[in-house]
Amino acid sequence: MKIISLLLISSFLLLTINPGVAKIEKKLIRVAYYGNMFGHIHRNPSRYSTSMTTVACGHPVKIYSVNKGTGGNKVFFNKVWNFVKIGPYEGYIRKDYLASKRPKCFQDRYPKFFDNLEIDLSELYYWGRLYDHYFTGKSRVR
Amino acid sequence: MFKSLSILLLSLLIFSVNAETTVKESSKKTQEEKERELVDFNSIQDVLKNDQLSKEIKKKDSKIKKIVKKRTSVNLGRYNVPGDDFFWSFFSEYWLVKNAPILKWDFQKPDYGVEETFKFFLEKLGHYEKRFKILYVNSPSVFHFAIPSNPDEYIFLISVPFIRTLDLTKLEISLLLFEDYMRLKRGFFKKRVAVKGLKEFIGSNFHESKKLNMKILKKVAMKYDEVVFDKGFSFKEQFEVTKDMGNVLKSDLKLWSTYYKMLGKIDDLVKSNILYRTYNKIYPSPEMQINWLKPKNKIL
Repeated sequence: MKIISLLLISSFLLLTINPGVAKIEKKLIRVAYYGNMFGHIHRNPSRYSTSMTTVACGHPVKIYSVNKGTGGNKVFFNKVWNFVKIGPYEGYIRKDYLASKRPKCFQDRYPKFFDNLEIDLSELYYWGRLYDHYFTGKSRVR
Repeated sequence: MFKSLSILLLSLLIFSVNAETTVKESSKKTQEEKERELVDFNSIQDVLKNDQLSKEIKKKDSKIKKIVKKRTSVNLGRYNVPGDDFFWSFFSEYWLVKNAPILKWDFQKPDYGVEETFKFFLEKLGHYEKRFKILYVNSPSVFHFAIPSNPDEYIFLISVPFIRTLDLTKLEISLLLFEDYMRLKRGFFKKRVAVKGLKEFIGSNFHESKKLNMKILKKVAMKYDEVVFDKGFSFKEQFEVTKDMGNVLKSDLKLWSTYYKMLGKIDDLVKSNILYRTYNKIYPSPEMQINWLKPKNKIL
């Protein structure tokens, strides 16, 4: 009896202390559009993380906020990454690569030019990875 | 009975196929155009005059003309080749993608934090509103390079083995990037990759031929390879860039001496390490650059 009660208490403690075990609630915030030529949805919020799927410019992306646990412990996806959903895939995408309005994509501006290049699947993958690997900046007037 | 039924079915099928194709064709046309096609206004001109509707018809005609004109220009625009403002960014990235296995930029690297230093560096020297993208490559075949992008945007390649071998600081990397930036600003790269017909090709339209001139793009890509991996820049171009660097950095002696010492480090590396011997071919040469920068001792 003692053992059972101990087990129950420990499992309860584990559930409350460890938020990873607790239920995760996702809430749709808004829909955004992917802004670069191609890109990737990552498994984790890291530029080196595995790609779940490739997206093209102008693709709508659902941005979610995530609540972990019942205590309303909100997890914000830092200033760099957003938690998103595209079709059946859930993952992370860089915040600055998303636009609130549908961007004017290169593929739409020059459709026939782009078609003629006949970019294959591996090139498409690399093109998406390229934006993951860039370290960007802009000099400004102070 | 069966025969007549099959004929009926066949005719229905043919009719449905016909109807589908006509729907497809007509779907491109606007309501006004369809109406205009339905009624032959020429045969009822007298009636229209009597009803004072001829003005309305003229209005409709001009509206249709505008729609047709707009549609033609949209259709023509689909065959546009990007202009100077979009072409270089697109093509440089296209080249990076095509050469990904050679350049080896798809790898995990330490965050050097150069972008912040380089940003302050540009601001300090008065180069404002310049966007830049730094791409680290895991290959000793490219040392450091700037390739063209959109106006006021620059793509920099820098080799991680090169950084490690020379043990470069953030400031030294920024100085190298700035040297590349000056080189690109002077238009040396674009001049070197400009093949015959490229100027006319950029911003052109291939609606008539319906086939893009891929030969020209392949030639430009080959020129990119040639400049980045093999030929690099001339002595004259290098002299101009070094003089520019000297003039810009003179105002800050600390920066000037860091640049001077860094060139010395590169010169030592090029002379001692076989892997980096080709550096002299691409950027001739660190030894000469040091001489060009050295203040002249004039004997009066």
